[in-house]
Amino acid sequence: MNFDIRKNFLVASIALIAFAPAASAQSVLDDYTPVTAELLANPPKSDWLFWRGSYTNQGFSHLDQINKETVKNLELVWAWPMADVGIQETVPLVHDGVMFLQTSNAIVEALDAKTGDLLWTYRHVLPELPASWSYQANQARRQKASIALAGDKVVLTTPDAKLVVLEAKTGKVAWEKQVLDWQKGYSYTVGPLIADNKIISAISGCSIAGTAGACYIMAHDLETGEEIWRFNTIDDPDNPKQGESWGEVPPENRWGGTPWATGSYDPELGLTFWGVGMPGPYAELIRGSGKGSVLYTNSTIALDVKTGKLKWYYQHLPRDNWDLDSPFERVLVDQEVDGKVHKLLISVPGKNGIAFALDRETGKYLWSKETVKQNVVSKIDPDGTVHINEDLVPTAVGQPVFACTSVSGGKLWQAGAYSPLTKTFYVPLTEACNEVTPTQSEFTAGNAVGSVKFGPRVLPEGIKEAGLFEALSINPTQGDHKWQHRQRPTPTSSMLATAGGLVFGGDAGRYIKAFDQETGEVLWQQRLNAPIGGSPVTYEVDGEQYLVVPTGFSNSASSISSAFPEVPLPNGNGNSIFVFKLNQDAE
Amino acid sequence: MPATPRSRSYVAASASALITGLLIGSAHAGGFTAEQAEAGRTVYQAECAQCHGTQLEGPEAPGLIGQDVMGNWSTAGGLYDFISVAMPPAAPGKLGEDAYLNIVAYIMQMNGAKPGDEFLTADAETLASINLVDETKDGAAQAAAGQQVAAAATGDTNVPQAFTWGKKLPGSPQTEAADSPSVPQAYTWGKKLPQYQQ
Repeated sequence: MNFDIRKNFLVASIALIAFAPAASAQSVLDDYTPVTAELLANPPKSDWLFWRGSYTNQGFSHLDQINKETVKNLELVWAWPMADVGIQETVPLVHDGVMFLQTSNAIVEALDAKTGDLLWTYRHVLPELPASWSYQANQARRQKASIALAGDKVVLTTPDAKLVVLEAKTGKVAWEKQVLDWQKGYSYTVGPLIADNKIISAISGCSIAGTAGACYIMAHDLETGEEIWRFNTIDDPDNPKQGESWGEVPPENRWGGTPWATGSYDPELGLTFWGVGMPGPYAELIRGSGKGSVLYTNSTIALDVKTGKLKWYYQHLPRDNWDLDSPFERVLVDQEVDGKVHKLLISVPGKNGIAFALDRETGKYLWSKETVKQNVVSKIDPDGTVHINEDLVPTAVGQPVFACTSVSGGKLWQAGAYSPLTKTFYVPLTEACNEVTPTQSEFTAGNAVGSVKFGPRVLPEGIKEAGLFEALSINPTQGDHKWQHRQRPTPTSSMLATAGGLVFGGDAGRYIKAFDQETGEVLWQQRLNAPIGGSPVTYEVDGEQYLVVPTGFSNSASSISSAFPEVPLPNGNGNSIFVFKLNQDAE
Repeated sequence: MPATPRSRSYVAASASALITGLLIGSAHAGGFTAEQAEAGRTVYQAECAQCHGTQLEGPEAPGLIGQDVMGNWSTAGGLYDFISVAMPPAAPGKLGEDAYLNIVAYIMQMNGAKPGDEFLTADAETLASINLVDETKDGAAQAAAGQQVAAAATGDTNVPQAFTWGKKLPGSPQTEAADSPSVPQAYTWGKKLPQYQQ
């Protein structure tokens, strides 16, 4: 037999080479254009470029093909199982018809947003944690919020405290940087913000024992990864009041202050706004901070984007004793009243569900409004001074107090959406209380410093419906209830408001719902495979509007499922996305 | 050093088997019987392990091993009160009193508590009197020792080191002092705090 190995090899090589261009010629990635600074400042309505859609964190889309009249014609186009399990908090980002989908453990998949075809996968290799570091291991399964798009790159923050920058067209690593030490307990659980040619990121894991004394918001150069500034949320040498607010407790015994949600950005003011979480240990008795307000925990902070210097802060909950974090989305809203533009920052910043409005230039308190049942804040003065209910401050180890809301919220990471059409902020909330009892225990590596025993989450007295979709009408002088949609299963996803007059939200009962922004009437709903999770977002490809809905494992469902036992949660994890569009033949 | 999942599971399983073997029939009791813990193992592995891990390590839901975890639940009552209302999420509070008590017994045993002749019951006062840290403290220390024994028994980890191992040599990289405290503690740690009297 005359077998010419070289000839056969050559033919095979040519075939391989030919295959690659043929494949990529069909790829939507070929037409992928850079996400420029201009695009970030003014996102095209067909795209979803940020965690909350824009620098304002409003969670609003200008698309209106899916609207009050047409929403009934939504039908499933494609679905996709996610690459890993874990708490479902994802936000698909979309640009030029490419969807970037992130899941826990820093896995990113690029999908064709129209067809659901997989384009590439990036799987981050994580260090193996010691078995006893169970809190830290669990945190890696709480991959919150988003990744970020910038130029021809995808920027992600990882559970082992790295920044990783990928080529958007291939998923290959362009560069990566170890930012903080994962062996101390640092990990990223929220996505970065791209602003002023910087990657602005907030670290998590600051309630893990090894991270004592420092929790950071940081800026790195978008091109080089060089660190430009960092701001420590629990130790600010520039502000003596901050240190004093911890009483005798030195930085090396302070924990917490984790900024658990991606910040917003006002390019005109040059300020970036972040929420800061609870202090650790949770109870002041164990913390040793006496009646100190423990700054900047449970505060909004405004940082100069160029220097990282603090412009102002406002504390929403001083003296936290109940792990009632206040780190959630800060939403920027401009409203013109009598010819004057008011630059507001609105938020339901904390688990206790109280809504706030601040002047975002100065940090001045404007108003607040209670939503769900809470008993930890007794009064808020007209100047914005928040008073806590001192009856709920334990003074002895083992002393239980009954606090509302619960450690699971109230409000949680699921973000609200603001609609400029109705000047209304739509917020997913839970009615719940729990017993909180301080304990004393020795801290161990990889584990949290809470030192509190929580009782089961229970409904507040007299309330039978745990779930609340709250619509708060907003103006510079007050916030008020526009409508409230109460139901037994809890809301479990972020909200999405659209120019179609709709606001979408999902629940533990596996329903994605479209509400009329004006009335709260449910105009469309669809039951899926698991609690609705993450953030539903919308985008447009080839003239058609799509709605993508994440589903999967939800702490906001499982932590209080005893309040709606008639709607059993699935045993399976189920992390997936479902993509809908209008059936054009329906009319 | 981080271990591979397989060796980790193996070591943990060996350690728990060792403890169980050593401690069954012990006179001093953690307030539950070996039979309860064994029944609890079955219920746990069927109803809880999917999220909390077959070795109670998590990570889909929080891990259930460790002195700090025990400290945060404080007493058997603290643990029972929570799980008997809220767990498992797909059927909260629906496993029945016996099952929840058995799960508490199993979690305690996995943390190093000793089974004995006393039967764990749902009496609130009794449950509240069982201090989890106290009951698991000695066993946890033994478990740590047991892990070393188990690891040594495999014969491939306790290897000889160079004559100079552990000594400071010229040009050695700066390393953290091995005898420094492993993790920071609360400002109030070691101080006497008021204790709540019911």
